[in-house]
Amino acid sequence: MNECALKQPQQVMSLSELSKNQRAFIRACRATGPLKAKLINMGFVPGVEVMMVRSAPLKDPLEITIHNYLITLRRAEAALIEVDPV
Amino acid sequence: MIRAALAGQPNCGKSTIFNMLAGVNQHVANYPGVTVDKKTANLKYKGQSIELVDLPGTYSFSTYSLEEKVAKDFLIDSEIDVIINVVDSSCLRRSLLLTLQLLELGKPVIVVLNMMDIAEGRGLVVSDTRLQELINVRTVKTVGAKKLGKAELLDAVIAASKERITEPFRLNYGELEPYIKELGDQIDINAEVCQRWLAVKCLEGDQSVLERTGVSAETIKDLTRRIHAIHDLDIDQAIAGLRYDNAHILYHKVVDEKSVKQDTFTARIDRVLLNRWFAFPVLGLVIYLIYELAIVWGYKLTDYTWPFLAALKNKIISFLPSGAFVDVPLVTDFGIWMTNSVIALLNYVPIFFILFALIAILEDVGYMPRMAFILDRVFKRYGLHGQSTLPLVLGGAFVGGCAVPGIMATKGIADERARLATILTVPYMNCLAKVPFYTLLLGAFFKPEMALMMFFISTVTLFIALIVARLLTATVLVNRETAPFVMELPTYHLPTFKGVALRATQRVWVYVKKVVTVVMAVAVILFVLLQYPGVASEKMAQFRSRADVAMSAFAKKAGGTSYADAVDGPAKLGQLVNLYDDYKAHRMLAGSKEAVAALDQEFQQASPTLFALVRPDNPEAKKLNRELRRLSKTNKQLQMDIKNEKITNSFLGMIGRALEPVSQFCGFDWRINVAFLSSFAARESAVATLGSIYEQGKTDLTPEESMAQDGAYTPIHAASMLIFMILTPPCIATMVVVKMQANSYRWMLFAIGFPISLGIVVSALFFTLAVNFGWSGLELMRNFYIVTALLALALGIVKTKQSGWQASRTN
Repeated sequence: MNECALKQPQQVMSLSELSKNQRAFIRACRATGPLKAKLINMGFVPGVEVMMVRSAPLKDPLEITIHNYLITLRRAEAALIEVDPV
Repeated sequence: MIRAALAGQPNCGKSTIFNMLAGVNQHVANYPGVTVDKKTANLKYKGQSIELVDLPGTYSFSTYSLEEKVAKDFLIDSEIDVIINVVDSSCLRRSLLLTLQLLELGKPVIVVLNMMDIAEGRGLVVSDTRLQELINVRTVKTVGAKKLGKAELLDAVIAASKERITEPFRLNYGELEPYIKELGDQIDINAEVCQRWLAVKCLEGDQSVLERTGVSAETIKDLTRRIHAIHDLDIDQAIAGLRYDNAHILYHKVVDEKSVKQDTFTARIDRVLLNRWFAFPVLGLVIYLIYELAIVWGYKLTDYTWPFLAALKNKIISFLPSGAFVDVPLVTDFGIWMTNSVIALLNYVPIFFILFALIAILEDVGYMPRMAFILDRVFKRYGLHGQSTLPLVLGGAFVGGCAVPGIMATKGIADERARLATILTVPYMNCLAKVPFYTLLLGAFFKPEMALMMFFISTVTLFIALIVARLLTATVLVNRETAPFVMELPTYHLPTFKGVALRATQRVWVYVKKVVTVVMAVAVILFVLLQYPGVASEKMAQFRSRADVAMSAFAKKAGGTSYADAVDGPAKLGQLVNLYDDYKAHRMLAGSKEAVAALDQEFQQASPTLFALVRPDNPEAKKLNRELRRLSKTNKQLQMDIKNEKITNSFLGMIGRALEPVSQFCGFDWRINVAFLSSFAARESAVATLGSIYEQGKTDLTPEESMAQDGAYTPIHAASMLIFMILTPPCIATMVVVKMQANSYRWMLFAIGFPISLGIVVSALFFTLAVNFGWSGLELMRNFYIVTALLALALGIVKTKQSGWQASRTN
């Protein structure tokens, strides 16, 4: 990723950046291959509401709520999911 | 016969439903070629026989996960009459996603609305009649744990098996429809499933469907490019999105959300168990409890089960032809050897049973994925996975465990690379059977520093495991598939007693079947290696004359007594000595006075004359009894000497000597090599072999004392042996399980070869350093510990370049 992209005004927020108990809607999933398939399977499709529950005691992985159930995923993976905070 | 497949998403309670339907008549095997459980059951209901097949839990039918591929392939290839789709009613929106895909297959589907109680508790009202109308399925409401709805479900299976679906369920794929039709026209095979479904799967680029239908990957790539150009659509996301939208619509038509309670029971428990401050103490407590209950208590339990095994052993041995002094028939030697090998492993069954039951409880409760959640960050650094915690603990992350259940517990690790790395590192943990070996060496050479040395031994193993895991994942395993760490944290459930007991029994049975058969095969090989070429004839003549001297001494004393006739000649003497030993062996197991009386009675009846000498009641007999004790001792000594002579002369002894040029760098002579070689059969035999080699002629000393006094070894030899033992490869039983879980003989051979090489290199290195710098044994061990710990920490600090997951590679 280049530096300029990060400095643009309308920054895209990723799932990993949500704070505790913050809600958001999924905008897009930038993952590929098995991760993409796995995320789609678990319900990470655009328009779905997610909520950050907590991070693990050692800060990674994260626990989030989606479709009324709990999912854990690593920060590196959550960073590939773009969200619009509510 | 009706064949019904049970499908459902993970944690939907599918196993509970399967257990409810199948009861105890379940068969567990693996799907051909893969290590995924295949559970089947045959049952009779209202005169119909039904075969149930439990498919692996899958969220969907994507291309990537092994479970999903297995389930999908089974549905495509097998003649299935009915699909039973178990859904978690409290999580219906996601569950319906799989339901819709199952409907597309074109087979009769029964939707089992499970966990209705939880759904109601959450304020969800599910209308089963609406669901029946909307997607034309049969529905059954069950609460699996309470056995509700079994008859209704079986009735539904029979009814559904009679219908044939003329027009399968169709999902409208919108803009993609023309392409699905285009593909459908190309597919011309006789499949068990609906053609349209095959076309959709082809469009998704599903490997196994492409292979079966003969559609080339090129065609799909081309099509994907076209669709992307014309409609600006990503096929995967578009199809998934459509399915979700449909599931969503269906959900809202079927479910009435009265008041969705956010603060559920699970969330409240998690607030404590996953809390930043409490998570580690609670995890530590859980691990400690498993260890205490299974390993410590299980070991105590074997004190109670051992007498039964010992009695069984005596029983088997009593059927073998007996021999005494120099002439022991080969078949007797062989029989005793085989019995000992198998019984030694069966002795661990209570430990395994408790362990497997506890694992089943943890799985059912839902704590397992949470363990992974807490520890993933640490393990990830070394190429392992959060889910590696339990296997490592079971393998003996504390003072003692067993690699067999440890490796069996790796089954659930989703990440293939981390799973293999875990399988290959669990054997480095301290298995229980290594402990006697440690105590032998520590007792002989490190008496004052025993506690410190034991601390080094029991903690260094974890560092070694982490280093090895990191090494392997960065080298030989680097191209292995890894899976994203995306896991569901299921809601907490109370486990059912029946489910736990069933699973524990099944797993113990698998262990007994697989391990015992292979151990027997290897025991035969070891027996041959130890038995042949055998004792040289002049040596044998020496033993014979020793036996003759002892016998004639006894005969002289017996001559002129009233027992002279009964003990006349070597054959009768042999019989007498065996009776004496046999009685002693049984007497050891008889606890109470009554048991002793019964035992006496039994022996008295079996051999009235000779027993008078074994249990004398007059002065003459008492005198001879003392002689008999001496004779029995000579006999035992002779057997031992012959055995040692046999080992010295055996093929294994030759191998041990042949290895001396290499092993001398570690400070091992051929005797130690033989002990290590025989420890492959089972770790215990290392101590037994060492003990018997060192016991020569000094029977009043313990093995510890005789080793220390032998003079050939110093504490640095002992420390070198300890390092080698810490690193040595798994025993046979473990190798069998490595083969089972890694599903490859190559990994099994690697699991043997790598630790041996590592052990030789590391102990040779430290032994040489110790000799050159004049370290004491304790210093050697301490330095080894410091180096290992620092290396492990350094590897943990250096960040891995690999991301948390990696795409699979194909040629």
